[in-house]
Amino acid sequence: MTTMPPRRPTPADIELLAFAQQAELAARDLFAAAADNGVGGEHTASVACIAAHHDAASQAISALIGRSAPQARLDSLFVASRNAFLNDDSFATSAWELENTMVATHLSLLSALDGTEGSALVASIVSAEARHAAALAVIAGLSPVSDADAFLTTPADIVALTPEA
Amino acid sequence: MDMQNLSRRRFLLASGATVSLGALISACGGGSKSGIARVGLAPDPATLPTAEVTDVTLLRTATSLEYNAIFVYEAAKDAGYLSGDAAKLAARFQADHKEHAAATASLTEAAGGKAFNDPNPRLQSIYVEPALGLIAESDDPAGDVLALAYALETLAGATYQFYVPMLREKELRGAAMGIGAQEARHAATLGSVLNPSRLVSSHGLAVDAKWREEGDASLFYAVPSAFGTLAPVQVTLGPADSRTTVNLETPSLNSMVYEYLDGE
Repeated sequence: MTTMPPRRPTPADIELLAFAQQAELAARDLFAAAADNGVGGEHTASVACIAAHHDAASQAISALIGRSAPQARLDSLFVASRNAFLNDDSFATSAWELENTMVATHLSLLSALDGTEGSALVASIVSAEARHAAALAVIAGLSPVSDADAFLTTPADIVALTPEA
Repeated sequence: MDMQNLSRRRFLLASGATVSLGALISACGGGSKSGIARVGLAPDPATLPTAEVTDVTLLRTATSLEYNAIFVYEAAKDAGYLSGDAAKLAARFQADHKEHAAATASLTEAAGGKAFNDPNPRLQSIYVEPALGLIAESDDPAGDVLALAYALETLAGATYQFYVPMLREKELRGAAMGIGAQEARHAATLGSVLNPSRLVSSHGLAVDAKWREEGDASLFYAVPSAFGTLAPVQVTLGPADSRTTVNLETPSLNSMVYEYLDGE
């Protein structure tokens, strides 16, 4: 007989969710910088909204884990991608890679989290960020027919972020 | 003497009352187990089996939903509603759903259950068949098929999202949501085709006024909200003079594919 999982995040869950919040804050700052810089062509407003989505995700994680939330971005992620996000030529591809990385990261968390409240929240974030990846494929000028995999799958070379990274 | 007569009278009265009450109970009892008087025979009420929502139940229901989607794309193809790039996109999505169905069926068996390889019967009767009926009468069947596909893909993604915290084995949660993420990407791709000018909705977001949309929200966005929602998905279909809105909801307790239903 399988035991029922806990509802609230366990101490191990809190560490993972804290890391997820840092990644969300880095993504928020990257998309906000891109929107402020006017990249994304006719879709700059959508870029600004994606920044707001990452902010909402970070706030939701904060609400779940309370004072354990770091409230600080994963600076290594921000620094590694900042220049690409500020350039109109490289923005869409870099942003598409980032969203796929976020999806892979959250999916790996789902297989590690014990508490159901944390897993429900992360699943709802995955739903939105998987859609971000498809939207960014449009902004990158790809075709949903001839480049379908770019819209529909996480590339094999995308690696999930881990707290140790 | 009086005392004896009185006692005897009382004894007789008490005896009479006991006999009468016994006869009444006997008449009422008869063959009835309920103890309630009735005329004629009625069948005993059926005992409903205990329907526990297990990981196997959730995986079987997810598989059934994949078959609903496969059915819709097949029906659209058979009717010739789609052509060109839309038909190619639909073919790709149908192939993905076949892969998802195989994956969830395999997970069902790995979890010790029996895979269910048919469309969800309840969703088929309350959503799919009425929606296809409306499309058959539509003035724009291609547009309506894409709208229905957007709604179904959104529903499929929401279903996996809904089931994640219900799955007891946490390894299954990542696997299930990996499929749910692709359903969400299907919906987003269709949203970008149906509403190419605005990919991400600003509704409900605290963004600068210059990034906000003017006018009412569209029914279609690649990304409609900051989180995947579990709200009912609306789709409007049918002929121009009598458009009908269908509300699709994630499969819940009354539409799950419990294992005990296999014998019925």
